[in-house]
Amino acid sequence: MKITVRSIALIKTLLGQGEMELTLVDGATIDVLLAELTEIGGEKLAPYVRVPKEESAHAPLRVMVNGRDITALAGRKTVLEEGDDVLIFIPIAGG
Amino acid sequence: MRTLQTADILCTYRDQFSRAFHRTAASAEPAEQRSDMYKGGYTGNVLRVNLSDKTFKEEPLPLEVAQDFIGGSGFTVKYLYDEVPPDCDPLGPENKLIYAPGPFTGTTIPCASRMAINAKSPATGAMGVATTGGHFPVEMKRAGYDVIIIEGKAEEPTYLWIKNGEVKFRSAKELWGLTSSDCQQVIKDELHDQNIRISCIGPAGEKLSKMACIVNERRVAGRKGLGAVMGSKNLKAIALRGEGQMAIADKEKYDAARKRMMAGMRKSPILFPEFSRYGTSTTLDLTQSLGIYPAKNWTATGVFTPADKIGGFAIESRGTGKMACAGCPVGCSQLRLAQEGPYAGWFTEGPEYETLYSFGGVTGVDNPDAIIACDRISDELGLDTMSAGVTIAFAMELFERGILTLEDTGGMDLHFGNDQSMVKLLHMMGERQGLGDVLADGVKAAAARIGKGSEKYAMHVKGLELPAYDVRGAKAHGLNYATAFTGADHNKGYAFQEIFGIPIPYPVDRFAIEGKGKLCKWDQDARTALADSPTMCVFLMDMAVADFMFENTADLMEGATGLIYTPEEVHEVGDRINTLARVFNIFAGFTRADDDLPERLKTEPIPDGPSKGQKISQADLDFMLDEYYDARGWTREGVPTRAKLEELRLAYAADKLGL
Repeated sequence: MKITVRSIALIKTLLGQGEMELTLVDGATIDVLLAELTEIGGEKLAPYVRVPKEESAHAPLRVMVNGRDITALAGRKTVLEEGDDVLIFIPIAGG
Repeated sequence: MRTLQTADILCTYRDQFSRAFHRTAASAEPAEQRSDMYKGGYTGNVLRVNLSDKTFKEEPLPLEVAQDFIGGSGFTVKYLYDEVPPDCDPLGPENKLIYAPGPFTGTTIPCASRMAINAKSPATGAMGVATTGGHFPVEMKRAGYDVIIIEGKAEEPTYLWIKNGEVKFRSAKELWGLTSSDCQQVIKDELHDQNIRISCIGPAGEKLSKMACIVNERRVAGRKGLGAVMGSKNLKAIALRGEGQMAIADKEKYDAARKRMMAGMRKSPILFPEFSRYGTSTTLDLTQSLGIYPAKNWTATGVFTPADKIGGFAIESRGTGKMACAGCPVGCSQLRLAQEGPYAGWFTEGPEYETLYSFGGVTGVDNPDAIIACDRISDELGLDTMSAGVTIAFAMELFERGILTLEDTGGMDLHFGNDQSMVKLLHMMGERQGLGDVLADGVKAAAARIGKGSEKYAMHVKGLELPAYDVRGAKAHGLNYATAFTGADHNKGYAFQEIFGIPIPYPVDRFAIEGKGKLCKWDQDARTALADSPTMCVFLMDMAVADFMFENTADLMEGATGLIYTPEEVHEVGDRINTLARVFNIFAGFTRADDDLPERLKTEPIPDGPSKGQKISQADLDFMLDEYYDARGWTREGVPTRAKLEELRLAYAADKLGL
């Protein structure tokens, strides 16, 4: 299946592009997608993708599928579907 | 609830600790007499200045006020509630202007040079707390004051010169009409001290524009028209100089808490280098990606998408450096220089994200240099960039709909996207010329003057123009617009869970309405208690200490001031402040009907993009309001109950309400 991955700010810099189309196996989850992106972004991206060791800490990486945060879906186990729009970024601050 | 035993604390302080605040210069009254209640964080002094009879006096800061309201926004709400009649004319002499930094300000806690200014707002008629940073807040603490209350009205243009416990009432006749930076420079030259810190108004405040702000350095206490309150008092500026040092109550605990906070800052994945490098400007790139960057007076969200021209990364080429508030290692404030066309050479500290909306998306402008120019012009005139831009966008929609004509505009083409007309109209608003006079008091007042059904296109809540998030796609954020006691004020209850996906206290779906009443209360109380009152830059709350935000404030309070709170009690301080402000607003005439959103947000869905189809219907809003009032312990009419008020140690407010 094909999905669109958009990124902004630091993640865009690390991925080298703000928008890309990826082909994943059917039933792929966000975990699978992040593993794929780590291949592209390399070691510099890896620390941001990793789940923090401390229980109290929240992962810095935000992932939204079709405008909805995955924390309100099934987290990294959220299953992607053909044509999904995935937005990935590190939280920044308001105005 | 655990409460501090006041008598014990007083005894302990007097017996065991040195003065909280050490002045190095002579003062009107020995510091020891004023500050022996506090062993750190506070100066213990309230300065009361009466402009009508040119008198001033110092009063002790009551310990129970410190404990219940912490400082900053909390102090200003408490004093305004106690001293200003809610039904008074905001531009009359009964209104008071109240300044308050917090107990963190002036210590070595990073990013704590913040303060609140409050008065009854001429824009909304409600409490009008605005906050600002820069260097003035620290200087005010060093000058010896936790609170400054300005009363009455000067006979002629005046500025205050505060130093060494003395207040001098100096003529501002020569300053009247000056822009904000000229005013500050002339005062420094006149007093032969370039290190003086100044809080002042520009021409817009003198002309009583209801969107006039108060400027210190190039920072602004914006929104709500507090600059007009200052202007109505014939007060051009407050200049001050201080040499005091803040004491710390318990150095060991203070150092430990500060160390933990600094570690949080270092570990932040975004504070350095990202936020330090771009400031708030990249929020545009994010909100556009989420489909909630409002455009063309909220008619084209998701359709007009100018991030590639005016987003944080696009305008990096305009950067020339950055600035930091006192004691801030981040320095998020970006210096930018316009480079092309008629705006080449304009220089500003900014524009922040909100300004990239107000002179960008919402006006349909995608020229970064025009936005840079408008940012600087607004600061110089003393106009709030957000209200000014949204008001110009309102005029643009009226022009496109034929409600305003070329005759009304003096021949000016006001179609969306016309940046030259935007700049010209901004000048006219600051000087109250032509159509600018009609618009200078914001969209609500302008719609009332223009008529012809124009109110339908006035994007405001309680008279305060909407900020830069299309809340049809972020419901708790929208509920905050509807319920914040200052009007549509994103900073009163920013739903970072919806905008940035931070799952604290729990993850949320930004499109859902269920649970948003509770979340909105949580956010409003957290922001008030953690940022606006202690006082600390709110960006650290989101980006550095999000995982332990309430503990952070409780620990720093105990270390710096000796006042003890549980994390839950810290959060409750926010509840207390927001509830007391609500009671003031009730007496000012506000009801549930005012906790509303513009009709467009309730009836017209977002037209395109990742939030396409979203809106907040009246039924959605009612559902969230009921939940919000329930969470607050208020009636479904939005009135706090006696039980809730007593729980918050606000029984005096219940008595006043006749409950």
